[in-house]
Amino acid sequence: MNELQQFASARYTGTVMYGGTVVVENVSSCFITATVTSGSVLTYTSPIVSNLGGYAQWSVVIPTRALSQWQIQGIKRLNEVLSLPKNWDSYGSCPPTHAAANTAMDLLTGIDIDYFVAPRVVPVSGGGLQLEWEIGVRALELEILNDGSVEYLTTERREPHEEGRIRMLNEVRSLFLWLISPGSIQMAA
Amino acid sequence: MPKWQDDQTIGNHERLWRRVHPIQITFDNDLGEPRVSSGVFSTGDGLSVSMASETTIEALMRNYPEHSVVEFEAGVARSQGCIVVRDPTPDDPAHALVWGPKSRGRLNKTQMETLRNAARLVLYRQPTGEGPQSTNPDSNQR
Repeated sequence: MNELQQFASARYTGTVMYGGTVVVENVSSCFITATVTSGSVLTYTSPIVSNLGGYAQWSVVIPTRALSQWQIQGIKRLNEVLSLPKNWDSYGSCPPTHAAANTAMDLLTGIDIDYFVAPRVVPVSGGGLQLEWEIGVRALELEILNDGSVEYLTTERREPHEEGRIRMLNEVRSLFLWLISPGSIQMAA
Repeated sequence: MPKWQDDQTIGNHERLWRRVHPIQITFDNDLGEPRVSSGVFSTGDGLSVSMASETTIEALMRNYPEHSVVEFEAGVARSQGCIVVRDPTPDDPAHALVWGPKSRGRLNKTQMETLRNAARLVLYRQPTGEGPQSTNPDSNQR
């Protein structure tokens, strides 16, 4: 049993799986952050514990060593949004759904770009959320709907440029590359 | 689209107000002022607003001490292909809906962005605790 399993077993009941991502099921209490001391076999420092959608019975522990700083910051911001109460928007909305939270986590952890800007994470009424980046004169918004599907909008100089649906993760990578391409910086200069 | 039609008794210059949660506002360093996310204009159904000519900021914010208020004109929504209809509720007789072309009245992303660019904060309450999120270049470091 490795260190993270020991950590999980000591505090939570249920099944522990591990690999790139450690999933702790049937968590007995809500939590947002936790710390694991570094160990011998696997070294996990300051794991992010994500309480997805406020569901105490389903959480994810991610070894942050595998992630870039922008991803870690993004997940922390995601946690803030997921902790919103019902009617956070004053129009009766629920917090982001489990499906939306899962997709957001996949997007944040699935892009293998080391150096990037952490997204703003904004809740959307109806159980969705939005990830936003702005670099130079270009911006990218990924809106994750309450069913987990993803729509995007790119803008240049704050004017809508292109919108569409995201079906595969590599489409997001293409949008990232557009966002950081030289044109974005040159136009801003 | 709903069975009702665009309500022409709501003029194009009618100001429409929508409450905004603090986490949906960021400080724009270029403009030197707070700016709302386009996510403010995204909802699971039509976009809830209140007609400014038929209510007051005080009434709109009576139970919401932390929220801000954003304003845009009905004509801007119409220019983007949306319709505006009255939808009075017991709590808000001035309540209306901006109805977009997508399923259940959702606006598309371009419409949301256009409303965002046209909108202005008429009541801004700074968030308590930590400041609004920013895309800090320092976070590029691994």
